[in-house]
Amino acid sequence: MDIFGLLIDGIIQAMQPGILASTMLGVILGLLIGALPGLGPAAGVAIMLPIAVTFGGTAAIACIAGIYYGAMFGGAITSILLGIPGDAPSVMTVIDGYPMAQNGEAGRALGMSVFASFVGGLIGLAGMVALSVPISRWALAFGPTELTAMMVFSLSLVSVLGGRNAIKGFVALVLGMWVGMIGLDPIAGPARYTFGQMDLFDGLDFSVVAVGLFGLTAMFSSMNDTIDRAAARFSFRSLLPRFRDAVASRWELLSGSIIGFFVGVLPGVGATAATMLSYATAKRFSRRPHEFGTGIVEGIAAPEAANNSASYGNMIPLFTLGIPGSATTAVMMGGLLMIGLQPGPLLFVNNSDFIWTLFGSFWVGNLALVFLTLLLTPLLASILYISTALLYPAIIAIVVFGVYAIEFSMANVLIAVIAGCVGLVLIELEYPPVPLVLGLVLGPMLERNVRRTLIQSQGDLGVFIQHPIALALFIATALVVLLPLILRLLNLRKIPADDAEAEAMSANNGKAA
Amino acid sequence: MTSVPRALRPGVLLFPGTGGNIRMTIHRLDQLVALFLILFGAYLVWTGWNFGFMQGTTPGAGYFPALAGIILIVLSTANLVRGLTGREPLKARMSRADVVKFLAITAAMLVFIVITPVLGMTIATMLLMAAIGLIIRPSLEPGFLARLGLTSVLVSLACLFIFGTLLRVPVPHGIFGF
Repeated sequence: MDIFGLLIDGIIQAMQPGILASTMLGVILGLLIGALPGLGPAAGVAIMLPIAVTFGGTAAIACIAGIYYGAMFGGAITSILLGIPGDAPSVMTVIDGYPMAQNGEAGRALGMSVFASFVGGLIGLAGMVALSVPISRWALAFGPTELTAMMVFSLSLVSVLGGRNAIKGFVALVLGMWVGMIGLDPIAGPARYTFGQMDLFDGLDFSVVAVGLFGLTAMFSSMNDTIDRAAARFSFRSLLPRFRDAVASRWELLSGSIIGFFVGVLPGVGATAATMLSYATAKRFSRRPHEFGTGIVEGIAAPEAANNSASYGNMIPLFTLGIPGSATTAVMMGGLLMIGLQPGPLLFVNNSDFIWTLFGSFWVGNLALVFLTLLLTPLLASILYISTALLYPAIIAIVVFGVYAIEFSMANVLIAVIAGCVGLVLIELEYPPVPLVLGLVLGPMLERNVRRTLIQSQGDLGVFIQHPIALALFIATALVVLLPLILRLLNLRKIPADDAEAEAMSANNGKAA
Repeated sequence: MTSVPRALRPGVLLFPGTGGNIRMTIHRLDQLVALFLILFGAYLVWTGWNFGFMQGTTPGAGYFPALAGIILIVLSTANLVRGLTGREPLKARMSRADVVKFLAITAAMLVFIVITPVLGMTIATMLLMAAIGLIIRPSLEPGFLARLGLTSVLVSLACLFIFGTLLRVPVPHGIFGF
C-alpha cells in the first residue's frame, strides 16, 4: 500500500473518538503551555507524560505530541501581544510581531502567525511522511554496530551543539548515563547504585526524572515571572489571515518551512536555531531587508513557519531510528517505551497501524490548531495574567498526583523533587539538560549494545569499525567532538544553537524546546 | 530590604563570607560542583572496579561505570580549571530572594511527602498548594488569600476525582478518610 493510502487510512483512524479527544486535549494544552512564558514544550510534555500514558496506545502519544506542536502555535501569542516570547522557538517572532502590535496591527500579526504555523506544519508533516518510510527501510539494514555508532554520533552532536560549553554538555551526558545505570545490571546481574533500596532495583523511572528535570525546574526558575504590561488590543475579525499577506509572504513561508524542517531533523540543534536561521535567510533575500524589525508580516511568517516545520522534522530521528534529538522528543521516547513500543525502524514494520494513525493525528491536530488558536487567543491572553502564585501550585498538585500514579509510590515524588533541585543547579551553572536526558534514555541501550557486541566478539573492539557505515559515523563523531576546538582555532563564530539557545533560555529561565 | 539589618538578610545568612554577593557565589558553586564531580567520578571508578571491569575478554558490570568515572574526572577537572582561572562566564539568573523561595518550596514538598500518609494526599496537597502560593507571593491580602484557598481546595478535589475515581489510582487516604 503506498504512503498516501497509508496516510489517508491513518487520518481516518485518528478521527476515532478516543484518539481525537486525546489529540484535542494535547493541542489545547500545548497552546496554553506555549503561551505561558514560564513553561516550555519539554516541561509540558514531561508534566503530562504520567497522565497521558494512562490513555494507552496511540492516544497517549497523540496527546503528548499534540502538546509539542501545539506549543509552537501558542508561543507566538505572548510574543506578539506582550513582546515576551512564550517559549524559546518564539523568540524571533517578537522582533516583528510586537512592533506590529504596538502599531495597532496585533490581529494581523496573530493571524499571520497562525497561518504561517499551519503552512509550516503542513510542509513539515509532508516531509516527515515522505522521509520516514525510506529512512526506516534504510535503517532496517543497520546492525548492532551501526546502531551503536549512530547513537554515539547523536549523543556527541547533542552534547556539542546543545549548549555554550561542550565540556559541560558531555558531563551532563555522562551524568545521565550514570542515572541510567542505577538498578540491576541487565547482563551480569549485580545491583548497581541502589544503596540497598528495593525501590531502585528496577532503576529510576524515566518519566519521574523528566518531570522533575523539566517540569519542576522550569517552575522553580520562573516563579517571579509575572506579566506587568498590558496586552495589545485586537479584534476577533482582525485575526483572520489576509490573502494579500499570505501572497506577500509566500517565499518566507516556503523558505522558513524548508529550513525549519531540515534543521529540525538534526539532533541537538533545536527549533530555536531553525527560527533564527530562517529569519536571517528571509531578511537576507528580501527586497526590503531594512524593514525587518520594524513590524512586517514577512518577519513573522519565516520564523513561525520554521518552528512548526522543525517540530515535525525533529520527530523523524525518534520514530525512524529510535534516537531522539531534543529534550521534548527524548521525553516522547520515554512515553513510547512506557506504552511498550520501541521506537526505531521496526516500528514501521511491526506497528504500522500505530505509526500511521499517529501521523494521521498530527494532520488532524495541525488543522484543528488553526481554528483553536483563533478561537482561544482571547482566553489565552487573559490566562497569561494569572499569577504564578496561583498557577504553579496547581501545576505542582497535578505533578505530584501524576508522579504518584506511575507506581503508586511517594518515593517517586521524592525522586522528582530531587531531580528538580539538581536540574535547577545544573541549569544555573549552564550544564545543558538535553544531553543529560538523552544519556538517561539512550545510555542503557548503548551499554547493552556495546557489551553484547564485545561478548560476541570476545572483547575485540575492531568489530565496531569493520562495517563502513559504523566507521564513517565514528569518524564523524570524532570530528564533532573536536568541532569546538576546530572552530576556536579557525576563530569562527559558534553555531547559532549555542548562543541563540543560551540567550533564549536565559530570557526564558532555562526552558528547553 | 533596607529596613532589615544586614547581618540578618537571607543572602548573608545563606552565603556567609560572600556578603550575600550571589554572583561570586555562582562561580564558587560552579567550582564546588566541578570538584564534587571529580570525587564522584573517582567513586564511579572505584565501584566500577568492584563490580568487575572485565570478566576475561568481556566487559563486566563495572565496565561502563568505570569509563563514565574516568570521563567525569577528566572533564570536571577541565571545568574546575576553567572556573578557577576565570574563563567560565556565568550569570546569576536567580536573585537571593529566588533562591530562598526555591529552598522553601523544596522544603514544603519534602514535608508534603512526610505528612501525606498521615493526612491523606488530598489534604496534604491542599496544604502544599497554599504553602507554595504564599512562598511565591508572601501576601496577606484577603483577596489573594481567598483565591489561593479556593484554588487549593478545588484543584486538590479535582485531582482526587481525576486520579482516584476516573483513573482508579489508589490515592493515599489519611486520618480524615480521604
